[in-house]
Amino acid sequence: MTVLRTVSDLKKFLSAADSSQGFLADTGFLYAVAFDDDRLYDSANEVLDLLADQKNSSFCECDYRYVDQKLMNEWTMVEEDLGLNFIEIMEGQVSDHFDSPLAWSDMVQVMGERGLRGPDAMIANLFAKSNFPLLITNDSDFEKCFSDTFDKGDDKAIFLL
Amino acid sequence: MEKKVNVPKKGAGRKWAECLKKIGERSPPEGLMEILNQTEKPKSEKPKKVATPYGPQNDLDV
Repeated sequence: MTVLRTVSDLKKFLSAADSSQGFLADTGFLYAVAFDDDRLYDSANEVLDLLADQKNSSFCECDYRYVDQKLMNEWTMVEEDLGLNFIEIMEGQVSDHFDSPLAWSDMVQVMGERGLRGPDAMIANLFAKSNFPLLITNDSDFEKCFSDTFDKGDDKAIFLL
Repeated sequence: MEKKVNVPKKGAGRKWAECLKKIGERSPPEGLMEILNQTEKPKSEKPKKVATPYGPQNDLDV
Protein backbone atom coordinates (compact mmCIF):
# COMPACT_ATOMS: atom_id res chain seq x y z
CA MET A 1 0.00 0.00 0.00
CA THR A 2 1.41 3.35 -1.04
CA VAL A 3 0.40 6.56 0.66
CA LEU A 4 0.40 9.57 -1.66
CA ARG A 5 0.51 12.99 -0.06
CA THR A 6 1.18 15.45 -2.86
CA VAL A 7 -0.37 16.08 -6.26
CA SER A 8 2.96 15.36 -7.95
CA ASP A 9 3.04 11.93 -6.22
CA LEU A 10 -0.48 11.37 -7.49
CA LYS A 11 0.50 12.36 -11.06
CA LYS A 12 3.29 9.79 -11.02
CA PHE A 13 0.98 7.11 -9.65
CA LEU A 14 -1.73 7.86 -12.24
CA SER A 15 0.73 7.68 -15.11
CA ALA A 16 1.72 4.14 -14.08
CA ALA A 17 -1.59 2.82 -12.72
CA ASP A 18 -4.28 0.91 -14.59
CA SER A 19 -7.00 3.55 -14.63
CA SER A 20 -9.53 1.55 -16.64
CA GLN A 21 -11.52 0.78 -13.49
CA GLY A 22 -11.66 4.41 -12.30
CA PHE A 23 -10.87 5.40 -8.74
CA LEU A 24 -12.68 5.35 -5.44
CA ALA A 25 -13.41 8.60 -3.61
CA ASP A 26 -15.21 9.14 -0.34
CA THR A 27 -17.62 11.91 0.55
CA GLY A 28 -14.83 13.92 2.18
CA PHE A 29 -13.43 14.49 -1.31
CA LEU A 30 -16.80 15.72 -2.55
CA TYR A 31 -17.15 18.14 0.36
CA ALA A 32 -13.65 19.49 -0.30
CA VAL A 33 -14.44 19.97 -4.00
CA ALA A 34 -17.76 21.68 -3.31
CA PHE A 35 -17.11 24.26 -0.60
CA ASP A 36 -14.65 27.06 -1.23
CA ASP A 37 -14.28 27.76 2.50
CA ASP A 38 -12.93 24.24 3.00
CA ARG A 39 -9.17 24.22 3.64
CA LEU A 40 -8.83 21.40 1.11
CA TYR A 41 -10.85 23.16 -1.61
CA ASP A 42 -7.91 24.08 -3.84
CA SER A 43 -6.08 20.77 -3.56
CA ALA A 44 -9.29 18.76 -4.09
CA ASN A 45 -10.10 20.74 -7.24
CA GLU A 46 -6.54 20.31 -8.46
CA VAL A 47 -6.98 16.54 -8.08
CA LEU A 48 -10.34 16.62 -9.88
CA ASP A 49 -8.81 18.58 -12.77
CA LEU A 50 -5.98 16.04 -12.92
CA LEU A 51 -8.52 13.21 -13.18
CA ALA A 52 -10.36 15.21 -15.87
CA ASP A 53 -7.14 15.62 -17.88
CA GLN A 54 -6.62 11.89 -17.77
CA LYS A 55 -10.32 11.12 -18.37
CA ASN A 56 -10.50 9.03 -15.18
CA SER A 57 -13.86 8.50 -13.61
CA SER A 58 -14.44 8.51 -9.87
CA PHE A 59 -16.62 6.03 -8.04
CA CYS A 60 -18.23 7.04 -4.79
CA GLU A 61 -19.56 4.89 -2.01
CA CYS A 62 -22.06 7.47 -0.80
CA ASP A 63 -25.76 7.11 -1.54
CA TYR A 64 -27.61 9.59 -3.71
CA ARG A 65 -31.08 8.10 -3.35
CA TYR A 66 -31.98 10.48 -0.56
CA VAL A 67 -31.54 13.58 -2.73
CA ASP A 68 -34.84 15.41 -2.69
CA GLN A 69 -36.74 15.61 -5.97
CA LYS A 70 -36.28 19.41 -5.97
CA LEU A 71 -32.50 18.97 -6.26
CA MET A 72 -32.53 16.01 -8.63
CA ASN A 73 -31.81 18.08 -11.76
CA GLU A 74 -28.84 19.79 -10.13
CA TRP A 75 -27.60 16.46 -8.80
CA THR A 76 -27.74 14.78 -12.21
CA MET A 77 -25.63 17.61 -13.65
CA VAL A 78 -23.17 17.26 -10.77
CA GLU A 79 -22.80 13.53 -11.42
CA GLU A 80 -22.07 14.14 -15.11
CA ASP A 81 -19.76 17.12 -14.62
CA LEU A 82 -17.74 15.72 -11.73
CA GLY A 83 -17.57 12.26 -13.32
CA LEU A 84 -19.26 10.53 -10.40
CA ASN A 85 -20.46 6.96 -10.60
CA PHE A 86 -22.08 5.36 -7.60
CA ILE A 87 -21.33 1.85 -6.47
CA GLU A 88 -24.41 -0.23 -5.95
CA ILE A 89 -23.71 -3.72 -4.72
CA MET A 90 -25.54 -6.04 -2.36
CA GLU A 91 -24.23 -8.42 0.29
CA GLY A 92 -22.52 -11.41 -1.29
CA GLN A 93 -22.61 -10.05 -4.85
CA VAL A 94 -19.72 -9.60 -7.29
CA SER A 95 -19.52 -7.08 -10.13
CA ASP A 96 -17.03 -5.56 -12.58
CA HIS A 97 -15.37 -3.83 -9.65
CA PHE A 98 -15.39 -6.75 -7.21
CA ASP A 99 -13.85 -10.14 -7.96
CA SER A 100 -14.73 -11.53 -4.54
CA PRO A 101 -18.14 -11.13 -2.90
CA LEU A 102 -18.55 -8.19 -0.59
CA ALA A 103 -19.52 -9.55 2.82
CA TRP A 104 -21.06 -7.70 5.74
CA SER A 105 -19.17 -9.98 8.17
CA ASP A 106 -15.83 -8.82 6.70
CA MET A 107 -16.80 -5.23 7.39
CA VAL A 108 -17.69 -6.11 10.99
CA GLN A 109 -14.31 -7.83 11.32
CA VAL A 110 -12.56 -4.66 10.11
CA MET A 111 -14.44 -2.67 12.76
CA GLY A 112 -13.35 -5.06 15.49
CA GLU A 113 -9.73 -5.40 14.43
CA ARG A 114 -9.05 -1.77 13.68
CA GLY A 115 -11.49 0.14 15.82
CA LEU A 116 -13.03 1.96 12.87
CA ARG A 117 -16.55 3.38 12.88
CA GLY A 118 -19.07 1.52 10.72
CA PRO A 119 -19.04 3.95 7.74
CA ASP A 120 -15.22 4.04 7.68
CA ALA A 121 -15.05 0.25 7.97
CA MET A 122 -17.45 -0.02 5.02
CA ILE A 123 -15.17 2.14 2.88
CA ALA A 124 -12.06 0.25 4.03
CA ASN A 125 -13.62 -3.15 3.31
CA LEU A 126 -15.07 -2.00 -0.01
CA PHE A 127 -11.73 -0.59 -1.16
CA ALA A 128 -9.79 -3.67 -0.04
CA LYS A 129 -12.14 -6.04 -1.89
CA SER A 130 -12.41 -3.93 -5.04
CA ASN A 131 -10.30 -3.61 -8.16
CA PHE A 132 -9.89 0.13 -7.65
CA PRO A 133 -6.21 0.99 -7.48
CA LEU A 134 -6.66 4.30 -5.66
CA LEU A 135 -8.71 5.73 -2.80
CA ILE A 136 -8.97 9.52 -2.61
CA THR A 137 -9.88 10.67 0.89
CA ASN A 138 -9.31 13.36 3.48
CA ASP A 139 -9.40 10.87 6.36
CA SER A 140 -5.95 9.96 7.63
CA ASP A 141 -7.36 7.03 9.64
CA PHE A 142 -7.30 5.02 6.40
CA GLU A 143 -3.52 5.31 6.23
CA LYS A 144 -3.12 3.34 9.47
CA CYS A 145 -5.91 0.98 8.52
CA PHE A 146 -4.27 -0.20 5.29
CA SER A 147 -0.70 -0.23 6.51
CA ASP A 148 -0.35 -3.96 7.04
CA THR A 149 -2.61 -6.91 6.52
CA PHE A 150 -5.13 -6.32 3.75
CA ASP A 151 -4.46 -8.99 1.12
CA LYS A 152 -4.73 -6.94 -2.04
CA GLY A 153 -2.99 -3.93 -0.59
CA ASP A 154 0.31 -4.08 -2.41
CA ASP A 155 -0.65 -2.51 -5.72
CA LYS A 156 -3.07 -0.03 -4.22
CA ALA A 157 -2.58 3.53 -3.06
CA ILE A 158 -4.34 6.10 -0.90
CA PHE A 159 -4.20 9.76 -1.75
CA LEU A 160 -4.63 11.88 1.38
CA LEU A 161 -5.89 15.34 0.59
CA MET B 1 -26.66 -2.62 -22.57
CA GLU B 2 -23.42 -0.97 -21.46
CA LYS B 3 -23.76 1.24 -18.41
CA LYS B 4 -22.99 4.93 -18.94
CA VAL B 5 -19.81 5.99 -17.13
CA ASN B 6 -19.46 9.65 -16.13
CA VAL B 7 -16.05 11.25 -16.67
CA PRO B 8 -15.09 14.51 -14.92
CA LYS B 9 -14.87 17.81 -16.78
CA LYS B 10 -12.08 20.25 -16.03
CA GLY B 11 -13.14 23.08 -13.71
CA ALA B 12 -16.38 21.29 -12.81
CA GLY B 13 -15.63 21.37 -9.09
CA ARG B 14 -15.29 25.16 -8.95
CA LYS B 15 -18.41 25.53 -11.10
CA TRP B 16 -20.31 23.32 -8.68
CA ALA B 17 -19.08 25.33 -5.68
CA GLU B 18 -20.51 28.49 -7.32
CA CYS B 19 -23.77 26.68 -8.04
CA LEU B 20 -24.05 25.52 -4.41
CA LYS B 21 -23.59 29.09 -3.20
CA LYS B 22 -26.52 30.19 -5.37
CA ILE B 23 -28.66 27.31 -4.10
CA GLY B 24 -27.74 28.34 -0.54
CA GLU B 25 -29.05 31.86 -1.18
CA ARG B 26 -32.51 30.56 -2.16
CA SER B 27 -35.12 30.64 0.55
CA PRO B 28 -35.86 27.20 1.94
CA PRO B 29 -38.98 25.40 0.68
CA GLU B 30 -42.09 26.67 2.49
CA GLY B 31 -43.38 23.19 3.20
CA LEU B 32 -40.13 22.17 4.83
CA MET B 33 -40.08 25.27 7.05
CA GLU B 34 -43.65 24.58 8.16
CA ILE B 35 -42.64 21.08 9.21
CA LEU B 36 -39.53 22.35 11.04
CA ASN B 37 -41.45 25.11 12.81
CA GLN B 38 -44.37 22.77 13.48
CA THR B 39 -46.77 25.21 11.83
CA GLU B 40 -47.91 22.76 9.19
CA LYS B 41 -51.47 23.40 8.03
CA PRO B 42 -53.88 20.45 8.02
CA LYS B 43 -54.28 18.98 4.54
CA SER B 44 -58.07 19.31 4.67
CA GLU B 45 -59.95 22.33 5.98
CA LYS B 46 -63.07 20.21 6.64
CA PRO B 47 -63.70 19.55 10.34
CA LYS B 48 -62.78 16.08 11.47
CA LYS B 49 -65.63 13.63 11.82
CA VAL B 50 -65.73 12.44 15.37
CA ALA B 51 -67.94 9.67 16.67
CA THR B 52 -70.73 11.29 18.71
CA PRO B 53 -73.75 10.01 20.62
CA TYR B 54 -77.21 10.59 19.08
CA GLY B 55 -78.28 14.23 19.03
CA PRO B 56 -81.17 15.59 21.20
CA GLN B 57 -83.78 15.08 18.44
CA ASN B 58 -83.00 11.37 18.39
CA ASP B 59 -83.24 11.23 22.18
CA LEU B 60 -86.78 12.63 21.92
CA ASP B 61 -87.74 9.97 19.39
CA VAL B 62 -86.52 7.28 21.73
